[in-house]
Amino acid sequence: MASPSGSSGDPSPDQSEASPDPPEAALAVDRVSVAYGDRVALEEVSFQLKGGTFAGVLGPNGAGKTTLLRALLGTVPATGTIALRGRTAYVPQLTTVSESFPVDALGVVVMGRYPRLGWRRRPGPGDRRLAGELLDQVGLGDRARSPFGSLSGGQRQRVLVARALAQEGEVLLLDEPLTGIDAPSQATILRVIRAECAAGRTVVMTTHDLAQAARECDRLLLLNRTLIADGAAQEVLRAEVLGRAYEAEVLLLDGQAALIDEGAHHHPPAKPGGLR
Amino acid sequence: MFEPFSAPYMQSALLAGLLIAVPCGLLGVWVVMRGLAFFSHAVGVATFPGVVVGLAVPAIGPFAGSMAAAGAFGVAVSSVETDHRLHGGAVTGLVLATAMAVGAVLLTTVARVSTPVETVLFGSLLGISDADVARCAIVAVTALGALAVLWTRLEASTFDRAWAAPAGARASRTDGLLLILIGFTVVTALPAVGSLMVSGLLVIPAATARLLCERLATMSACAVTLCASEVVIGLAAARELDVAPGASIAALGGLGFALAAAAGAVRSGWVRRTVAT
Amino acid sequence: MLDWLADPWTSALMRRAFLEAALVAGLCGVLGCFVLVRGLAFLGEAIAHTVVLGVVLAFLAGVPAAAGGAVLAVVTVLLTSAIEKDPRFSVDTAMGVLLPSLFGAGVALIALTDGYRSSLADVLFGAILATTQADLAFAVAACVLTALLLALTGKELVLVAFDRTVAQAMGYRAGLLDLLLLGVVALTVVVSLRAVGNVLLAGLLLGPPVTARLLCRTFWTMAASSAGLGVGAAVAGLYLSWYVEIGGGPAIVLILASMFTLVAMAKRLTGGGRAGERHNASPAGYAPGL
Repeated sequence: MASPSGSSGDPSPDQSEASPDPPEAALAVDRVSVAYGDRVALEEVSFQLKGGTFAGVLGPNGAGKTTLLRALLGTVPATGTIALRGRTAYVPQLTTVSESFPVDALGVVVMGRYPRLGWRRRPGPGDRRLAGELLDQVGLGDRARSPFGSLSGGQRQRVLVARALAQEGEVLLLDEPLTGIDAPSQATILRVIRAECAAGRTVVMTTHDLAQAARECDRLLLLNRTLIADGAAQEVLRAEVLGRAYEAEVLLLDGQAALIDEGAHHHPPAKPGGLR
Repeated sequence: MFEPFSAPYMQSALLAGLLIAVPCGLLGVWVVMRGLAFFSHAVGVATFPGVVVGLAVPAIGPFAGSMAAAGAFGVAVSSVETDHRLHGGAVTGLVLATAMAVGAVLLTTVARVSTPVETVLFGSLLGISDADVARCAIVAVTALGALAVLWTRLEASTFDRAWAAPAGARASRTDGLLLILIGFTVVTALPAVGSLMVSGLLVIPAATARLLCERLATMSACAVTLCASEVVIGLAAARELDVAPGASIAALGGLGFALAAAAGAVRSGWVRRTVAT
Repeated sequence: MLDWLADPWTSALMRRAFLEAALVAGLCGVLGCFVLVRGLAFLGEAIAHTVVLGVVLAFLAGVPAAAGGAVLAVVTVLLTSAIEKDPRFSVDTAMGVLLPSLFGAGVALIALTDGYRSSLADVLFGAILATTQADLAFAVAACVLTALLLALTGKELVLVAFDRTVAQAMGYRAGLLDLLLLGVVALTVVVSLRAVGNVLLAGLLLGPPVTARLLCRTFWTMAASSAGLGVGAAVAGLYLSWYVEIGGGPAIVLILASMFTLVAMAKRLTGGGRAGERHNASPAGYAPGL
């Protein structure tokens, strides 16, 4: 049984220990809470996912979606228990990546091999071949040698997904991978995710696009500090349920719920140094 | 062409310079990409009082003095780093001015050293002893070994720390080790280029390499080559013109950067476009 | 006791030094607060070094040193901007390139210039006792100019520092205000060279603000306290240098460092500092990290 996670930053990537939970559960979360100082970000969240599930995590901004992912990865201290079968691969938000780093698309995917190989071993030709194939899978085989910074947003996101695939994890975590991305790239990423699930891997994706989550995900987790709802789209995306999560921001029109979107605007972080 | 290097002391300087170019070029890559130029400059400046004390007390010696000063600097800055009100390097700036003030006061009062202050601040061709050359060799080998182990972690955590940390790159530990390696390299390069100019060796060749290369491997090789070239030519210029090597090497580095930038601007058509308007 | 206080004032050199130190420290104290909140410490340090090249070039060209220094300060700011526009480089790298190369060129030029070599120590550490009437006039002019600027645009400069997007939304030309601020910082650096020299400048520019920041909560009280602390330290430093026979510049910086250390330790011991601040919103635009 995996332990409550330690201090932020450097967890052990491998949490594949025997679990008393039912063997089919690839991911089991039991009464997990996370607090940043006085502020409680997650409160007693519990759920289980079987292998091959595509789960969407929904909720307003500040609901704790990213915090949940961080707790699953072990990068924030959390109380409660988290059990993950196998290795975890992560696709963080695109804003965290350095655009000006001297690396090409292939190089980024090859970096995904480092955790698998151990950080002291250099990747070999087999790793580079695998990276090339993964780039093909996301439709960027012809851009393998292009500098990462020269790619569009959608292309970069696809490269980061390929990097996660290179980690060969049993669990795949994605933080808002489709936000602000062009439609073809979104389609490609969703196709890749479905292929992973068909192969038995478990995928957890945070998103604020309810309609998309309803279409694509097998399971929806509606979060606003606590887990408000957990199930299929028909159960979770109901007016009264959404009202509890989005707190008075649901507008009812003729019995159909319409949400006032308060989450789409994202202030880019101020550029440091002050010369701009 | 080799005439400036015929004297034995110049050969020591050349050997030391070529050896130190390896860690300076390789670490410089990370200094540029992680925004550690101010840190490198500050560490260099902070060694000044340590060197003064080391020169005044032969039992300590300048090397041990500078190591102690660099260590003290690290402690002083990290203890106030956590206060968010004082971010932006302000305390670092105060600390390095204080280090210079302490050194200056020591020089004019108790530390009667025969070495002129210029030598400590800007390096000296004559001041590179065999022990210094040996230290350059040790640091070169140590840095190569450490970087061989740390390289993939550095690459991953600099490119995408949010991904690298959960993937097991041990980002914080790598950060700390990098800073320590930079400290060692700075201290070892002091006899050649002096406290005020040593950051130039770390930043300028790597920045120039970044102008010329698009991949990490080529950029790293380029940084080492540029650093070595600038050191060799800078040492020769220092000898011929009778200026301090730290100054000539840094000025030369700046020239190299300017040339590479100009070449890039011409290549990207910037000149054509500007002239056309 | 009174003799002890009055003694330095009997010297004309010292009287000029006191006045110069007070003017320069006051100027640095106020502008240093902008440098602090905008995260421009490295830029200030860089300009302090690169102006040396300008001073030497001015000497060679036969123009006043301050003119050469001012030109180089402007050049430094422009080049930093140009390099930093390239997405591959940060402001940190830009200054990491410019500081050693331009300063190195200046030092090399000094070595090659016969009339200048002997005064390298003065350039580095200042020679406040050699303050001339011209220096004083320059310092007074700089203070008046800065006071005018702050009277006209002070509130806007603070607004841009703390919330740039709001300022722009309100119609202020943030870029222009930036240039104004950098220009005044550059002027301050050039004026302060006489008093403390270039390697100690960061102490005078940053010491009073960081100390004041620990004591004050609003920007203008911080600026006023910073100016006061700066002037106090400058005067105390000169007394110290008179009686202990160390350089004026180093003495002032040592006093400033002691001030900061005492205040920081007192804050930590009383425990008020850090815990209280955590609940205050950190102003947007505060530059992170080093």
